[in-house]
Amino acid sequence: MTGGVTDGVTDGVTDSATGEAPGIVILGAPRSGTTLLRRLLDAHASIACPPETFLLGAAARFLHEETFAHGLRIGVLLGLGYAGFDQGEVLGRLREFTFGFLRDHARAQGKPRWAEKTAFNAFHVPAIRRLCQGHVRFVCIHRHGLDVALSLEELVQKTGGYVDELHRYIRQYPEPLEAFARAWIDSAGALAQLVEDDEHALAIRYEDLTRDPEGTLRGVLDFLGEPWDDGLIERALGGTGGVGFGDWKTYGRATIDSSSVARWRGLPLPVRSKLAALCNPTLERLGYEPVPVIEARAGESDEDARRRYELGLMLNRMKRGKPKTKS
Amino acid sequence: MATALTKTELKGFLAQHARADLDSIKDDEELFSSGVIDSFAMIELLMFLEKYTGTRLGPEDIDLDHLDTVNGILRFVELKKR
Repeated sequence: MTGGVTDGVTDGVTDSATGEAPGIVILGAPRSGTTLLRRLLDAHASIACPPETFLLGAAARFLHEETFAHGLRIGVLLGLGYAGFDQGEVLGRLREFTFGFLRDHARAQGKPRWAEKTAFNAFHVPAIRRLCQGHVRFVCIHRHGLDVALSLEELVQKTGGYVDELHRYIRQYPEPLEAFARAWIDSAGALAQLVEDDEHALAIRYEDLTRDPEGTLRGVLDFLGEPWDDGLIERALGGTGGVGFGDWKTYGRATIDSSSVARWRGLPLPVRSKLAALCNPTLERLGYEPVPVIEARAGESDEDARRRYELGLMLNRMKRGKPKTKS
Repeated sequence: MATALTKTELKGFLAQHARADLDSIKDDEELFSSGVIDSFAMIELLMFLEKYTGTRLGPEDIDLDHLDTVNGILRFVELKKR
């Protein structure tokens, strides 16, 4: 971790508004294990992390600005500025409004410290930084980008639609896996930048959390200044963690395992190579090995492409005559 | 193509496209029927074999008896080159 932004409001150990330990914001690209991490932290005796509240994404939209009329920036902070409200005051009011729900929820749970996790917050990182940085601790969870793209594809197939944050990528890129890979690149890149800039931000990897849950969680709790809690993992997996929004798959699991790691290896080579070429710079930035890019169809002619299509048709005929084939 | 397709070359090609680690697959074990290589990979293999043998494969060639194992593929290539 490098850098540090505290803007004089908190030292990252106590919340200046309450004198208590600062809130925790979990961030990660959707399908990166954020719900698993939420359940684990919520099982800690001192931390209350409700199912997805969408609070920070909504606050980010409140802060949305755009350029209008020959470069004029418009938005709430700028508009209220003309009405005499200092930006710091507006942000402070919004922060208090947002954090207040989370603080009250933690108190209702009998816990001193709140945490917040909503997967799609990863698409609003700049605004969330503006609102929260210097007032919370960030725990960012990364997962291999090709696995995220695959899992997002599975998600939209099962749910039958796109949330707004993904739909804008789909509108731009007609191949869904490419759209999801680009969504991952943007969100994971924003989180990497956050961790590089802010000493109060920690990055972990889904692959490490599933391979070594206790070791990884001990690191997270140490960063948060919280003691290890015996039985935490068992409690997290044993309970429902409260009914609410979040990943449904994690609730069906009684153990943490690595069965969803490296599923991307099953992608057809041309697809894998195309996604790898896009994702490798971000993968390497996050400490992952780059995926080999094999230009299997480099220089392919139109005739080759037609021949591949013909062979595919003949292969289908063979499969029809050989029912034992699986694919 | 004058040279014979070696087992090493074939396995190297298949390794790029397989879903599983080919080191654990025996030369007479099923590749396609077992799901080790999928339809996309099989088409790549057919394209590879056409270029290697300099022949145009027909429906009669595209048969699991020829294409489902490493040894079967090697025998098929030898047959097509005659």
